[in-house]
Amino acid sequence: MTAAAPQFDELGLLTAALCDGEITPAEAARLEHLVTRSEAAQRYFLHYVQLHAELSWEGGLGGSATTPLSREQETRVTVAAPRVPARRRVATPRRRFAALVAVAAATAVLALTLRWAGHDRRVAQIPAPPAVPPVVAHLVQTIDARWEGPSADRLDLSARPEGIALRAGQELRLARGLAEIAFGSGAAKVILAAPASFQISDAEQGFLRSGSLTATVPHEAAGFTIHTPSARVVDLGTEFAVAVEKTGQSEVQVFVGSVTVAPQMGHGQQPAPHAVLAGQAVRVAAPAPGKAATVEPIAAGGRRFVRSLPARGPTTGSVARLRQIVDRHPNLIHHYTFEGATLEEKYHDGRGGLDLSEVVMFDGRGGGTLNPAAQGFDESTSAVASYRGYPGGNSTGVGLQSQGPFIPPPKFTIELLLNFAGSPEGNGTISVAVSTRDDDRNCGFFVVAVDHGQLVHLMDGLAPWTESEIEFIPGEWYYVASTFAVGEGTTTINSYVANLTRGQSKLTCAVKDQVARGVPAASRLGIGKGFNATVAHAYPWAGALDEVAVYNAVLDLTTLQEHLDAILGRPTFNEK
Amino acid sequence: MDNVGGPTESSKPGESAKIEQFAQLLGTCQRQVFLYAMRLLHSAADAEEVLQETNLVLWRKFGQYQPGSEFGRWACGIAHYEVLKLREKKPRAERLFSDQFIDMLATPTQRSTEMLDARRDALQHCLGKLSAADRQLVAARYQPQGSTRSVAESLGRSVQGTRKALHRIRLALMACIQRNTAREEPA
Repeated sequence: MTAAAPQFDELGLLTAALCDGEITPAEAARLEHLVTRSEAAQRYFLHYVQLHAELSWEGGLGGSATTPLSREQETRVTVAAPRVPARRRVATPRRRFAALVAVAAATAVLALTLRWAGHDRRVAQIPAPPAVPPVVAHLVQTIDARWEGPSADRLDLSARPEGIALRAGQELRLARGLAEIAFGSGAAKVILAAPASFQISDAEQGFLRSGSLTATVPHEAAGFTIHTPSARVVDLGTEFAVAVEKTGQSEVQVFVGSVTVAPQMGHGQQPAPHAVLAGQAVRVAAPAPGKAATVEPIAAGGRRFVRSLPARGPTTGSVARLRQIVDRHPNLIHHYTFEGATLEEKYHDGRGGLDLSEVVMFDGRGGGTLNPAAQGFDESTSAVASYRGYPGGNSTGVGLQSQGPFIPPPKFTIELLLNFAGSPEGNGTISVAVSTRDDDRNCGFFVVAVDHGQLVHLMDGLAPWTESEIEFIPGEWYYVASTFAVGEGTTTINSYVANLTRGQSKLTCAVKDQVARGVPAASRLGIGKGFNATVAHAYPWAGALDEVAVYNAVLDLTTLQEHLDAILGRPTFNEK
Repeated sequence: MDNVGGPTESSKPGESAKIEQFAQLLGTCQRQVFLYAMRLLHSAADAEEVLQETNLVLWRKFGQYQPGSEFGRWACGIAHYEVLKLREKKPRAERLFSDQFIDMLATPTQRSTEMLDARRDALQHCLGKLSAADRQLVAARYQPQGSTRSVAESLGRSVQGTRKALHRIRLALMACIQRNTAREEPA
C-alpha cells in the first residue's frame, strides 16, 4: 500500500469521493478503470475502502477515544419487538440487532444473551454536534503561521484558501507567524502577530489577551472595538495597533485617523476616554486594586507592528515569479521548469541544452508511469512526478535523465521545489531527486530523501550519508537549495530548506558546512532518480519535483531567501 | 420480569441452546460481513441492509450449517448473494460499477481475510495518534447518520474542505496502519 504515493493521487481522490457519497457516474467509471489497471491500485483501493468500512462500523471512534475495544464484549439484549421492515432503515449500530430481534420474536424467545463485538455503547458516547455560534469573521491570510489551542487544526488555510469562517467567541492562539482576519462583511481587518492570543467577540469587537495586532477600519465600520485586559480601544475610522504585554499593560499606536482609549474598569464605572490621534501612542497600565487606571502618552514608533500582508496571487508571490527571477540569474546553467504543452517542452533544459528523457528503473516500471503534468505548489506551475513502484521501490519505477552528461562545476548550487509523497517501505528507502553516478564509488547524490524522508547527500558510494535534521513531511511542498564546493577529495555542502505548504517564509539551514568524502561525479543527470552501484537506473523519487535549477556558483543565503520570497511574498512593517 | 438468557414457556426443548449457539456465531461474524458488504457496496446504509438480510437468511438456513466449519466464510457467501440482490433492485443508473468489477472485488484472498484483525488493531492504535480535532472530525463523520455534508454544515466549513480534511486523515491512517502491519503484510 502506498497511502500517499503520487500515482494514487487521482485514485485516492476518486475513492474518497466514493466513500463520501459524492462520486458521479463518470468518476465511478474512471475509478473502476484505475482500480483494474494494476494490483497495487486494487490493493490501495481495497485498503481505503476497508478503512472507511471499519470507521463506519465503529462509529468513527474505533474504541480508542474511550476504552480499548474488546472483541467479545457482552451485550445483553432484551427481545420483545416484532420484525422491523428491512428496507431503507437508518443505519445505526443498534439497528443491527433488529434482524436478531426478528429472529428471536419469530421463535417466541423473549430474551437472550448475546456475545457481541460491542460498539453500541461507544457510539452512544459520541457527542452531538454543539450549538454553533454565528460566523462573524474570516481568517483570510497567514504567513508562516502556527496555531495552538483547541481550534488549531481548523485554521489551516492551505486546505481552504478562500478563507476560514471564525465564530463568535472563538479563541485564536497564534504561536508563530502572522494572520489576517476580516471582520463582519470584511470592513474591518486585523493583522495578528505571534505570539498572540485573541478572541473574536462578535462582528465588531475582539479581545486581545496578549501579543499585538494592527487594525484597519474604514469609516463605515467606525466603532470597531478592541478590548485588552487593561484598555478598551474604540476606532473612529482609522488604522491603529495594539500590543498587550505579559503584565496586562497595553500600548496603542495610531497610524491614520483617531481612536478613543479608555482603561478597563469595574462594573458601573465609566472612565472618560482619551482621544489618540494619528502619530500618537499611549500606554495603559494593567488594572491594580486601589490604583486609578491611567492613560499616559508615550513616544510613537517605539514598537514594530505589521501593517499589511502581501496581496495574494501570482503578482506578488508565486512559483511563476520564482521562475522569472531564476531565469535572469547570470550563474544559471541548467533550468528545468517542466512547463509546456508537449513532453519535449516539459523536459527541455531552458538554459544549458541538457534535455531530459524518461528512463525505467532496472527492475522495471513496477506497473506505473511518470506523470509529466503533476500538480505543482500553486496554480502558476505544473510539476513532474516520477513513479516509484511498491514494493521494491528502490529498483522499480520511472524517472528522468539528461540525454547528455552533466559536468559538475567546482562550485555549484542545485535549487528545486519538491514534494515527498512518503515512504511506505520506511527504513531503507532511498528516494533521489537529483543525482549523478560514475561507478560504484563516484557519485553525486545531490538531493536525496532516505528512510522516512530525511534530507541527505552523498558524493562517495562507500561513505556515510551527510546528516540533517530535516525530514520531509509527506505530501507537503518544500523549497530546497543545496550548495556544493569541491575541495581535495571532499565536497563542502550546505542545504537550505523551507516548507512552502506551511508558509515558512524563512530558510532553515538543514546542512551546514558538512564536508562529505568524495567529489561529485560527472555523468548523465538524474532528475527524480538515482543510480545503483552498477550505475543502473534506481532509487526513483517518491513524489513530485519542480523548478530544478543548477547554478555554477555557490549562491549566498540572501539570494536564496529572495528566491523563497518570490514564491511566498513578504509582509511589510510599520515603516511602509 | 428479567428473564434474559433463560428459556421461556413457549420455547421448544433445545431451541434456546440452538439460539444461544446461533447468537454466539452471529456475534463473531457481524463485523466481517459488514466489511465484506462495504467492500462491494461502499455505502454504510446499503451494507447495513445487506447485513440484516444476511442475518435472517443465516437463521433460516442455520440447520444447514456444519458445526466446526467457518461460520464467517459461510456468512460472507450469503452476503454476496444479498449484495447482488440489492444491486438488481437498484436502477441501472444507480449501479456505479460494472458486474465484472464487483466480481473482482468479491474475491478476498485468505491472506486479506486473515489481515482484517491486524489492520483493525492497527487502526485503533492509529486513531489514538490523531490530533484531537482530527479524531473529532472522524467521530462526527462516522457517527450514525453522519455524512460529509452534515459535518461540513455543522462545522461551518465547505463540503470540499471537509472532504479534503477527511481524505487527508484517511491517508494518514492508512500510512500508519501500513507501518504497524508491515511485518504481517504480504510482500
